[in-house]
Amino acid sequence: MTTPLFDPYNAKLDEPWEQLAADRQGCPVAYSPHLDAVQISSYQGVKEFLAQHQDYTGTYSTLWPRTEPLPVDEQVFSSADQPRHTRQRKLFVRALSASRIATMRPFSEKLVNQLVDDIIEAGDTFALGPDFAMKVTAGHVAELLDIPEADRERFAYLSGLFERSTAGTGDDELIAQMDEWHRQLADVVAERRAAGEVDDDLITKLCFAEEDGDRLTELEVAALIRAMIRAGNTTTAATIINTVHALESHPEQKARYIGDIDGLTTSLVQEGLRYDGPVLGLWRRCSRDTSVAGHPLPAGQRVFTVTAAANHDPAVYDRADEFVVDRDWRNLPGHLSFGHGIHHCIGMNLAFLECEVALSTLYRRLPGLRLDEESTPVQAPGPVVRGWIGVRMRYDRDVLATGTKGD
Amino acid sequence: MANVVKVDHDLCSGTGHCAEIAPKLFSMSDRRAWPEERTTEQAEDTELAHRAADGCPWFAISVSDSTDNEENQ
Repeated sequence: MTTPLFDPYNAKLDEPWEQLAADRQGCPVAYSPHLDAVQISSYQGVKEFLAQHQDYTGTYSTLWPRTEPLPVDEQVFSSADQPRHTRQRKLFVRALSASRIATMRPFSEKLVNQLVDDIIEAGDTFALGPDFAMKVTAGHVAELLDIPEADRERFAYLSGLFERSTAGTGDDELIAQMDEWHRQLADVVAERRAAGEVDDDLITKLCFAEEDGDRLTELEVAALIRAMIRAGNTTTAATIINTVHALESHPEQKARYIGDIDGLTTSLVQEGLRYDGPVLGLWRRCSRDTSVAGHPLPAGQRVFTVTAAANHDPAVYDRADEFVVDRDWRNLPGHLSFGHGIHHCIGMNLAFLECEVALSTLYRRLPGLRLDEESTPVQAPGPVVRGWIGVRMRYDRDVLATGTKGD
Repeated sequence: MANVVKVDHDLCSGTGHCAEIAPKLFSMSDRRAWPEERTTEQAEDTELAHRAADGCPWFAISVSDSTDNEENQ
């Protein structure tokens, strides 16, 4: 049995596609000493494993390779098992369904156009993450949660810390700030519960949701909201950034997209998620003896599913390592960037809306948009996140003088 | 055994898990899942329909015994 090459802790590659191809081909399900886990890297293998939710647990966390389960109140969404997971998820599905999220489009368009106005106001270069993508995602989550304007910036900053923490460096200052965030959020939850069932924001709804006469504990509500903010902000911002990075690295694809923004935005977002989605991979642990693609996995085995490798599997996609903006996604198997099975990303509809509005507005409104020459993007550290940090953009501001400002 | 399979389109987000689990019971169109018209019902269909309902990440599928509805009419 070949040993996997993928080594994201010690040698994370900006372009891991060849290395992932070697693992997928040579050892699609194999123990990795770099991860101290069984690494699954084929599309079928990842999908098969994720579908067998009764065979694994997320309670040891899907973001960090913990040796102990999370405290019970911290077990939310992907880190919760059934029946707890189903109970939590049922509280969110209506608020995040396709039909409900579609009603947010006017808010989304207004927010994104305002952010582009601010960029134009500020100058001819901007930081894609901090000045745009992170504000897009933070604005949407804050709207859903009804966070007061004054608190939104600090909220967004604290929620972004988790990305650095998955690198596993154990920075004390970082841990202190994350603790501050946990306390701040717990306070918000306590305030809303004390205020009574007067608003219909998501936090209030969660505070008063009942199941068999039981309400969620304040800690559980806080953990659910934290997971939602964390996932909603970081992953969607990374999707926007990574897709821009992919467009800017493939001039012929960018030209094709700019030639038909209306027709290609939906498939661009799908391809951005497939080609360079925000999740490199996730952790799980077998809860009983099972197998994947005939490879036995004993109870207690730690598993790492490599989403990025599965999404580049040539058994599923033609030209799998190429970025192609006009794939016919209606007739292709779905990529695994939202996962698969009962833990399928609950924020998918919101993520689609944000990415579609953000990317189309950016390329429609900023003429000559391109990477700034001095921009040297680097990858976020660790095995969980795929995300370009330090992407700086430039555009031809003088062309705008004739007045194409958003409505 | 006859049963009625419904998809709540306020919830369905079109991920296609149901059509993958039970391709003869569901089809995908317009980014939503649609239950297939069934003229005959078999026990295995009922089990498949329940598996699809359990596998739906948006809890959009309901399966009920059609005799319940007839009683209510």
